[in-house]
Amino acid sequence: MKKVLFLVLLCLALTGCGAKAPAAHGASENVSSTSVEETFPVGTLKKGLQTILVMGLDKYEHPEEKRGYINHMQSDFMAVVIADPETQTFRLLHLNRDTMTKIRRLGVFGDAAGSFEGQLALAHTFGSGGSDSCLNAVHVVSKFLGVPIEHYMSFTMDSVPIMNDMAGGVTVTIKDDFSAVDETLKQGETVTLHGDQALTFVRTRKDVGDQSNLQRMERQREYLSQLYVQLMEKMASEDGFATKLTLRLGDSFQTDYSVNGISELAEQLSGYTMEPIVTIPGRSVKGEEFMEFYVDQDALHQIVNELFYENP
Amino acid sequence: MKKVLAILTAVALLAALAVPALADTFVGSIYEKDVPSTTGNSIVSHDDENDSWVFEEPVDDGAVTTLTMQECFLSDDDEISYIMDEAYSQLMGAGDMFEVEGDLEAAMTHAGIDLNAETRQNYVIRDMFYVQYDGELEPGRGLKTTFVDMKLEPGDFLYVMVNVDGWYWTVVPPQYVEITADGDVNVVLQEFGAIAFVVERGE
Repeated sequence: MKKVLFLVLLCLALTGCGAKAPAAHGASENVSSTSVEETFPVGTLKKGLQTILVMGLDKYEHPEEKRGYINHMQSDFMAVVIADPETQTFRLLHLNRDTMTKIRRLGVFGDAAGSFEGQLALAHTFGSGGSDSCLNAVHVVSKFLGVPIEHYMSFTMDSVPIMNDMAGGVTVTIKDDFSAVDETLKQGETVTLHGDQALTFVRTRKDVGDQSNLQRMERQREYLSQLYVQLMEKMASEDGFATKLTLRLGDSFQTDYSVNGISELAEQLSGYTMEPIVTIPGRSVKGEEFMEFYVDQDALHQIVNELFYENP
Repeated sequence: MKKVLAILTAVALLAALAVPALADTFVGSIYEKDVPSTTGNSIVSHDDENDSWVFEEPVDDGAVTTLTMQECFLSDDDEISYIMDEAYSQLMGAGDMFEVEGDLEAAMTHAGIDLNAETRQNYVIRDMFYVQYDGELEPGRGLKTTFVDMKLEPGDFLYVMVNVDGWYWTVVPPQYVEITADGDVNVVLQEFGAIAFVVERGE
């Protein structure tokens, strides 16, 4: 199991941050922002698939929005977990947060109030920031892929320092120049990260080193590798560590699963094999102001077909 | 359970990491901007002959206060908070927006829109804002203001209602509401306070 988890962490690290998608699906110039639904032929969905949208929200905590219908928590990380009881496998479809598609807007009282072309990350920003926003993101991803998504789980950014500290602080070597953002992270030194230092280390790109994604990805790989080791050690050595961690995550974690549902899911997935993470190839371009990612439509169809549909 | 937690942990961590970027040029990733921002304010006078508005003079942006509904509720100004709270409660408390005191139904019917129990459900309140002009408007004049980047397209259905005196929702005549190709919305307002954007329901 440890090997599988390590692979997961590594794959996640590699597929994060807009890394190029595998060439296996043949990246082409056939990129656009249309959803599968608009062009994909209807087939037969695999029976019994469980699908869960997992979101990482770019805000430090869930806000107490008073009758808010727009929030400021875009989902910077989105992945669909697909569990197949027939093959006893599960896998992650990692979605680029800048993927351009049709975003449903929610009105003042939560009604669907039109749509616009925008980045996937924006889907969660409509609604109060709670379950209504998560469900809107589920709707948008479901439309984009042309398949039903049954459940959601979301985390906020304050999860990172919590997990970091519960792992005892993660020790890394500071290879890049952080002086502009955090003077405690001195270049060339080996530092045990605590609290928000961890978030700064893995997340900050602007004004760090050459500001490139490549450098940041190196930092992330280093951090995740070490964090994984430490978390596994904790789980092995401390009874109830997993429960304690869950409790500490508290409100930073939201889901439509009941406690029993989570437990059943855990039971189910524990017997499944994790398959390699899938990403949809495409092209990142600078939009008028922000990054935009246009998926390769042929690859999208192929991936959706492979993951969700019965294939003879 | 441990396996699931470890996977979720990894996934949560990746939330912090997944921000695409170009290697040599810093380009930010999208975030939801605060809306609305208004600009291009001007005083206009009504041309009765052509039923249109004619530019009179520019108005400094500082003379116009535009707040989101959320900003109103969080405002230290009790009056602003109260005005929005009242407006919100009226719309929330009504079965639908056509049941509040106002002329929305009359305006839409006059425009040839068939409104019945079923079709009334096709319309929703997309946004609520607070707009105030720090100045005097002479009779026959209005404030033309532009709501920036409302992500609407020319031809989209849009009615703008203004909550007058805290109880009556008057409709800005559709000919005084313009959606530009940039997705901005130009509106001429003669009354100020809480306003609501009415659009067609989405999927």
